[in-house]
Amino acid sequence: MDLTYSPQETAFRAEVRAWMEANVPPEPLASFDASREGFEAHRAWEAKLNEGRWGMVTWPEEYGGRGLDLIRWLIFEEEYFRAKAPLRVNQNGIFLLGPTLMDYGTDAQKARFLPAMASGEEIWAQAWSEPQAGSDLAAVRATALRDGDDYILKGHKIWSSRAVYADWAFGLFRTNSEETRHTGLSLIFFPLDAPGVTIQPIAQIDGETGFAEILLEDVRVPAFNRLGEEGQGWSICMTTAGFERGLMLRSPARYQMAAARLAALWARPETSNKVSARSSVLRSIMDADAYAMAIYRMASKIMAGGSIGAEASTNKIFWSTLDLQLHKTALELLGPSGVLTDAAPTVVDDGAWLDGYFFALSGPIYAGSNEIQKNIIAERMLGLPRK
Amino acid sequence: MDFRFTDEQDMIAEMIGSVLRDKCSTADLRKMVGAGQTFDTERWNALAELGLCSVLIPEDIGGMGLSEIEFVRVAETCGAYLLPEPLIESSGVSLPLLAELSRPNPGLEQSLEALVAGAGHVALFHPSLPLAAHANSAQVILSSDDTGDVFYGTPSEMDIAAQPCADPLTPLFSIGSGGQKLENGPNNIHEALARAHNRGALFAAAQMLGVAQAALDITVEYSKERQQFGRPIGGNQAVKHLLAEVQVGIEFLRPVVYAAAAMLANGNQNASAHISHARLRAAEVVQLATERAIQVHGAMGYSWEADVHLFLKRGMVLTQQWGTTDQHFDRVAERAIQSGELASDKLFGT
Repeated sequence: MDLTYSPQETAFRAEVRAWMEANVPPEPLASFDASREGFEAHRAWEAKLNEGRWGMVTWPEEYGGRGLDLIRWLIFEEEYFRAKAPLRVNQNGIFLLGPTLMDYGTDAQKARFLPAMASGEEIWAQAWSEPQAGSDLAAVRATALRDGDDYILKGHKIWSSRAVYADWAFGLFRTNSEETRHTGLSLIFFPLDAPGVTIQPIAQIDGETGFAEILLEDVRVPAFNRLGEEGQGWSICMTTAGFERGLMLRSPARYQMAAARLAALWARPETSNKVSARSSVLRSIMDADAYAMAIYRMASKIMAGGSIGAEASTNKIFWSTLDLQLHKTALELLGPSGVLTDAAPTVVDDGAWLDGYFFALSGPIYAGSNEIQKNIIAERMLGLPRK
Repeated sequence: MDFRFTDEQDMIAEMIGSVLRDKCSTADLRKMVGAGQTFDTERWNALAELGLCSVLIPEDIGGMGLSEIEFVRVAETCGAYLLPEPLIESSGVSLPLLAELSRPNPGLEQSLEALVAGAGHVALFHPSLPLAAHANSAQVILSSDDTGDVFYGTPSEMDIAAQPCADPLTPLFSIGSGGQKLENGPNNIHEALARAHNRGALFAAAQMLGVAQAALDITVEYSKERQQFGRPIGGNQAVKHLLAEVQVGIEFLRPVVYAAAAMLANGNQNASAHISHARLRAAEVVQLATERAIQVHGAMGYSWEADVHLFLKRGMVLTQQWGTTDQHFDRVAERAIQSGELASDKLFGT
């Protein structure tokens, strides 16, 4: 066990830092969920990252990456968040679908989709949930019927993050009407501007339209857009969910920087409830550290040829609980001004803590609710019976 | 950067695990409780034969010269088996301290060699550890006060008093005055005592990690076997969620304990803060694990005959050792709030 960075790793950190210092926009970009302008500003940032070949450092060079290992990815993320760089508008693509494509895609599919994903030219939404298929994802009803070299998509997807402004979606469809539940499903990509696609934005708890309903009426897409084999959709989705809950989507640096800001907030003279909130502040800091240490440990294991399974579920519970706890503590420190929005003259930090709290409330729900994750942990890690 | 243990480091844990599987079953422990015993000399000798007394002792005085990275696994394993004998306290903390401080105290220098070879154990009273386990059977007792003065002697030379506690396998003692004042040698006594404090807190955390994991393991097994309403109780979501939460707690404690050990071994500036983190979280996790173990075992878990209470009580003793919760929060705060050094690139020091 060696918890020190090698000279090469330190040099890599310096390289990332120098690039970020020279390129991160001095002012935060407008939210990518609130307006087309904000969304496009984030797309332009993705293009800039890609110019520096920083889009996805772990990807092979041919797809726009640098072919680096997971420790370097963690270092990259630490520098990224340290530099207060914009949130990744294409996270559904680069963190979730990208790695899944790498595992299941044909060479032609990888060449078609990955470079455009890394550059932000094509921004992705996830189209899995349906009104009757939330935690019970295997209850999806949307169909993809084969017609020659095409599929005809039909159905109703919902809670699709980024779908309001994104270009593409990856959806879970029933390709075999005889089979039920986890069988007969396939993962298929469709352009969000294809004929027959209707997007209905859904306002979230914070008023922004971060997700949408997608209505599909006889949407024709080539069979080329199917990832993996027909009927393999469920197991592919579980791979994606592993990335979503596991170590890609929520890198530790995000929480370490939030915890550092929380510590600074505690120290400001104008904040209140300092005595009662002190141990909560320190717990948030410890949890952010613990999450980072756990992810470094997992990264070391994966680099040595290991894999992670249901541990992804413990990660998901931990980071979502931490994020909520951290923001609740911040609101406690802010006292009466914690509820002020960025329109209020005396708002602190532009209302970022309130925004963060609302966002954190979604953490225990999306990517599989924490209650479902506890079932997964109990059954797959502890070996308890299903019923 | 590599967060994995080497094969050799894994082997030490496996080696001690195989001895304890054989010699430290809960049946063995219950037999000791029944007989009112707290120290099994045969088991101590078997552990000593593995060289476990000398892990942290420098090679030039007959030790293995290994670091906290190796010993943290020993502590975790001993915690999991609820080892009654003070191997962790002595070999992890007090004996290495004695090795640092024995010169130029002739009596101590002589006993050191035999102790490193496994002839017995050293008990340490420290401002952060006012109640020391097994002081009555120690070959040497060290006692340091708030001023940093250290006294030493045998149990009969020191004014110790038994303080029976909740754990029937941990005999605690307090200390009054007495013993000889230690003469300062070449090593800085304050630094040595601070190192002992860090090691004590770290290895207490590692033992609590072991206790928590073992309590979860026996509870998972019980919930698969115990049938109610015609099926195992572990099939109920209410039970699953209780145990899954313990698993999450353990998953995010283990890397902290291991990282704290590596940082202490490497003299990392953040080691103290991370040791306190490990110690604080370990106390919470072991409490959660053992309380849930009792709940899931039901009335059986509340009985003296079942093993569960032994895990609870060992956890209770360990959670209050090597500094108060307030002191450890202060050490976390020192890094986190006062220093202004908190950032995503600073976890493993600068």
